[in-house]
This record gives sequence, structure tokens and C-alpha cells, in this order.
Amino acid sequence: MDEVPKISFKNVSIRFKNLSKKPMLMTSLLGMKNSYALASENRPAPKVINALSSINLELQGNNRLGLIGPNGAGKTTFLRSIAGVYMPTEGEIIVKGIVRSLLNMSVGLNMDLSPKENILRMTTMAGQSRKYMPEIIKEIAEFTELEQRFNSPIRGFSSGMLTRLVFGIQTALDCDLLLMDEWISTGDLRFHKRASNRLEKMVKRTPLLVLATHSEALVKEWCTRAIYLENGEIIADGSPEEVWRTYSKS
Amino acid sequence: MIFNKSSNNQQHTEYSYDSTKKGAAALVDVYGAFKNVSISFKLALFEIRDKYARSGIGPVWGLFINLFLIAGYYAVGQFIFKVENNTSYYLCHVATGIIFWQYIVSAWGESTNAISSNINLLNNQFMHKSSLLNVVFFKQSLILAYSIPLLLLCQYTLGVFHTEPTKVILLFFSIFINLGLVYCFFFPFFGIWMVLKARYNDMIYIVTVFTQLLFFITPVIWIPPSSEEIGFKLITLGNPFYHILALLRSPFMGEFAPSEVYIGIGIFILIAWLIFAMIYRWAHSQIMYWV
Repeated sequence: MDEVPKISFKNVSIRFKNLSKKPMLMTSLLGMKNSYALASENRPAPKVINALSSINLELQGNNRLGLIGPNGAGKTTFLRSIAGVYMPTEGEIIVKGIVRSLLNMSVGLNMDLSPKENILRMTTMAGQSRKYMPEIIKEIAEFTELEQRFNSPIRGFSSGMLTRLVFGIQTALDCDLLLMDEWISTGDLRFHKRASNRLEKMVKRTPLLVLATHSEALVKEWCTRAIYLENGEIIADGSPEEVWRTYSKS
Repeated sequence: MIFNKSSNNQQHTEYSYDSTKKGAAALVDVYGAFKNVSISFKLALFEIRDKYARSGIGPVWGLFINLFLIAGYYAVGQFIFKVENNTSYYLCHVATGIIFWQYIVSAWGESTNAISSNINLLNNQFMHKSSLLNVVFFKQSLILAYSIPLLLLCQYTLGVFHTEPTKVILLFFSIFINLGLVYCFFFPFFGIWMVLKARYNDMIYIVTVFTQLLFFITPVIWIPPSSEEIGFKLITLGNPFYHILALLRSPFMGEFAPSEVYIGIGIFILIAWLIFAMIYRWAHSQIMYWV
């Protein structure tokens, strides 16, 4: 029996060193340094960026968390730290369950490979065994309606076709924890409807959802709990309605 | 239909990061790279397909490039530097040297860039970063496999197949043992460069300079004389690539690598792992913030 999926953040802080470069030798020598300098450049840049500060959070079983906050509040950092991309500078992160991240829909495709090869590559990276691969390929081909071009390199595909393919692959495999940076909206009108249905089904089947969004309707419709982040700190934590009210007043 | 977890036979993921246990997290990453070695192998196959996409002959280019280089360097050695040696022996020495040097240089360059070239992927999903080193190792080893006909030709030219069967069998097994030792050195050594490149872009230029310099001080196209001079001993025995080249080359030259090579590579493996452990412990939790 599968273990209950879980996300636990214990006093987690994530700090980035600001690696903004000093002017390079050649740039200075060529006198390019100040040509286009903004007045604000004279102010010293912060040496450390606090992406997340002392975050405490426990999510277990069936939970749907909405992350809201202005741009640069730390939502994407939060999602990436759950995905295992970022490690905490302080504190402890524990994640249990199969994680699927829908953070960036343009990621992972290799333009010189065919859709079939891209599916094999991306599902291999997700730890998928080859046993069910033919069924997965067939399912994605039918869903994306790209069957006729399934063996030709995707270099010649339109951007809409590429988005369909990535969406089809990313949503083909089930998971325990689904991380989404904004609700995915993709393709032409006809495909958009099918994609929305597929995503809704996937979200419903996934026990744990963490969704970063700027949409009030989405938070209220899909989430059972919400967090309002600002400057890497949790400002409010509670029901989506309450937290959205606090956010909209700020 | 969305494929469910049981039908997909996926492994249950579990990870925990404690900021006070950086060494443990780095160790788990390296362990994960060895545990998921089959995934790295499959990814290496895709990387080869990608590398040679839209190419007429694909990885066979590896063989042709080596052929051209061998012909060029053999001519330089024989006719310009007047290397006094048995011609067929020298030709095989140059051939094995060039084939394995190309392998080393390509693997070094690709490992150094491993994190930077996979940043989009690493930024979006959990992945053991050190497994990228395995991908490079498999990829370059598979490309090297296309030069096997040339290596076998060297063995045939030197009459390896006409010696006693026991020796042929032992030489055959020594290929894999030596390749294993080379892997034990490559993983931490290239890992150091991969991590440093993630932080400092200068590394790729340093690698370029090193590989050019090392080409001349490693016996790729020249045959090491049996000199007792300390300076000469230092640039051979103190050069890990001397040992690596000797390990990879000797079975194809019908010889067993001398014991000093095994001792030397053992010491270098130990040093490389020690430095890698220190650097990876320091860098592992920060790599993704740098790139």
C-alpha cells in the first residue's frame, strides 16, 4: 500500500547569495561600464536575497494548497523547494510521494528528437519503466492529435503543437504531489477545452496539490487552504476566502 | 486516460533535506547516481541521438575523426619528428593514444558543462546532479565503442591474437577492469570540474588550456623513454592522464599495464574522491542557486 503523501517544512529559510557580477575587466577598460547606467545602480545591491524566511508547514493526505502573493514573493522558490530543486539554507524539508512539477511548459523537449523519442526521454527521466511505454505513447499521440507527425523531429512544429505535446507528456503520468505554477492554459480553442478537462481530472486524482496563482477564482475553486506569501514570509495562512481577503487588502 | 502509479510501476519518491546535514545530502545524491545508473544509460542513448541528429553517418563520425587524426599525427611523428621506432608499433601507439585521448577530452569537456547544459531540466524537477556524470561517461563510452574496429586492428597488427589463449583472455578481462578503474577516477575528477563550472564560468577556459597542455606532456603520440630523470618521472607519474592512458591503451597493445600504473591510479582515485567529497559537501546545496 502506498504511503500517505506528505510535505513538511520545519523552520525553512532559503537565502541566495547575490551573484551580481562586478564589472568585468574588459568592460571597464572599454568604458562601457557607465554608458547605460541607471541612477539606481549606484545603490549597493543586497548581498543576500531572502527567498523564503522561517517557513513552517505540514501538508498530508488530501490537501490542496494555494500560494498567493505578488511577483517575487517566493512562490516559485517555494514550489521548487518542494520539487527538490532548492535545498534549505536553514531548517528541514521532508517530501514523501511521487512529485510531478508543471512549473514550466517549455521544459524538457529536445528539438532534434521526434515526439515519440521525447516521450521516451521525459518519461525515462521520471523513472518510468519501459513496460507500459507503448500504451503511454499511444495515449499521448491520440490526445495531442499529432499521430501523423509522431516520428518526425519536432523542430518543424508550431509553438501550439509543441505546447500540446509537452502538456500531453506532463499530464500523462499520475502522481501523489502535483506542483503547478499558474493554471496551464494551452492550444487553440478546441484543444484548450480538452486540456482543461484532462488537467481537472488529474488534479482531482492527485491527493496533494500546491498551486501558485494570481487568480481568485482558481484558489477558491480548487484549494482547501491558502498561504499568502510576501518577501518570502507567510503573511496569512487559512481558508482560501480569508487569505484572499487579506491579500486583496494589502 | 491518465496512467496511474501502479500501472506505471514508478518508484515511491521520498527525500528530506536538513540544512545541518549537508554532507549527508551530498552523499545521498552520489548514492542516487549509482542507484539510478540504468536511467543514466538510457539518457545517454538519447543524448547520442540528439548529438548526431541530422547527421548522415551519426556516431561513425567518431571513428572517422579518429582515423584522420591518427593519420595526421602519425605523419607528424614519423616524418617531422623522426620517431625512431618500429613503424607498425608506433602507428598502433598513436592510434590507441588518439582514440583514448579523444575519449578523455570529450568526457572532460562535457562533464564540465553538465550542469549548465541541463539547467532547464534541473530547475524544474528533482534529479541527482551527480548522475549527469554517469550520463556523460556512458555517452562517451558508447561513442568510443565505434572505434573498436580500429583498436582490434591494432591488436591484430601487433600479433596479439597469435599469442597464448590464456594471455588473450586475461588481456580481454583487463580491458574491463581498467575501464572500471578509469570510471572510479573520472566520476570524482569530472565531478570537481562540473561543480566548479556551475559557480565559475572560467572553468571551461581552464579545461581548454589544460587539455592542450596535457596532450603534449602525456604520451599520446610519443613513446615514453625509460628515463630515470626526476623531472621526467614527475611529469609522467605525477600526471593522472599518463596512468589513465596506460590503463586504457595497454590491453590493445598486447601488454599488461605496469604495476606502477595501478599504484598511481589508486593514489589518484583516492585524492580525487577526497577533493570531490570536500567540494561536493560545500557546493551540493548551493549549485542550484548559482546556475
